[in-house]
Amino acid sequence: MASDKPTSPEDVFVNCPFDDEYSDAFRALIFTIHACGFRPRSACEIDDGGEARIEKLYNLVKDCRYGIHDISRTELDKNNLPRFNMPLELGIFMGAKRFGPRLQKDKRLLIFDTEKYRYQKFISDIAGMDIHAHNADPECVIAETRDWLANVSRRQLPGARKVVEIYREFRAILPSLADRLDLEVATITYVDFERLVVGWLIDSTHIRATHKASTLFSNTLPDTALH
Amino acid sequence: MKVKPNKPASGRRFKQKARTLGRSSLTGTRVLRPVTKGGTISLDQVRSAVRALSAAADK
Repeated sequence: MASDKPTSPEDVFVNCPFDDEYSDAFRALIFTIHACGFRPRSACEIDDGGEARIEKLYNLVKDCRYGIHDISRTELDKNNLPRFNMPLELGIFMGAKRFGPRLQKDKRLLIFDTEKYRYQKFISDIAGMDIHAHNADPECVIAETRDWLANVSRRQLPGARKVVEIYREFRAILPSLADRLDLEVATITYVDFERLVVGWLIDSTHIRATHKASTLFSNTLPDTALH
Repeated sequence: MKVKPNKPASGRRFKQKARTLGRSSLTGTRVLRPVTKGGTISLDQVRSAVRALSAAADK
């Protein structure tokens, strides 16, 4: 991290769990970042060949001006061991901001947990930082992320209500869109999901039209279209 | 003859700028091309599917 390269004001480092239980919130987060005109960057885009994974993570962190860190799923896994990747990546991001070259000091970070003060029980050293609670609710993730991005970037962004509304429409259309592309909604990978979001945002002309289409192509839309 | 010495490299690389695909009519914000590679579907396939769905709904 020695070079003093400017961070990308479009790139948002997403440090969140990728498991099934978190997928609703994770997908809502990726959607919000694109809908607000930014670009999510995450460890999901790293393939494991060649360069060591940690080196790629350093490079990702170095590139991104913004970082969204969700420490809500640091609990014990099926092997009874805590999951340390999220706190580790949060630490790398904070370290880059604190000790990195001058241009790294522009970094801004958002920390999510399920409840506002729960972190004090397992990562109390970050006391005093503003932790945002999302209550594991994807729409709360959308509103908090949108408001935070508008605040730190000083850009004019669509309102939280608007983003929630278009996300609901996207969820409604997703089964028919996935069906057309021979994908299963429940098993869409990160790479494909990002393309679905971007393609829909850029080419969907008006919300009601796509919603109407979704009812044309699929008679029953599940409540949890996003597994 | 004087030879101009080569300028030493500054070590600064220009980062590839995020590529904009255009503005979303839903949000009014620009939409950036994803960085990710691979996957099973292309962005063009998705865009064509979205347009087909929109066209079907307009009928």
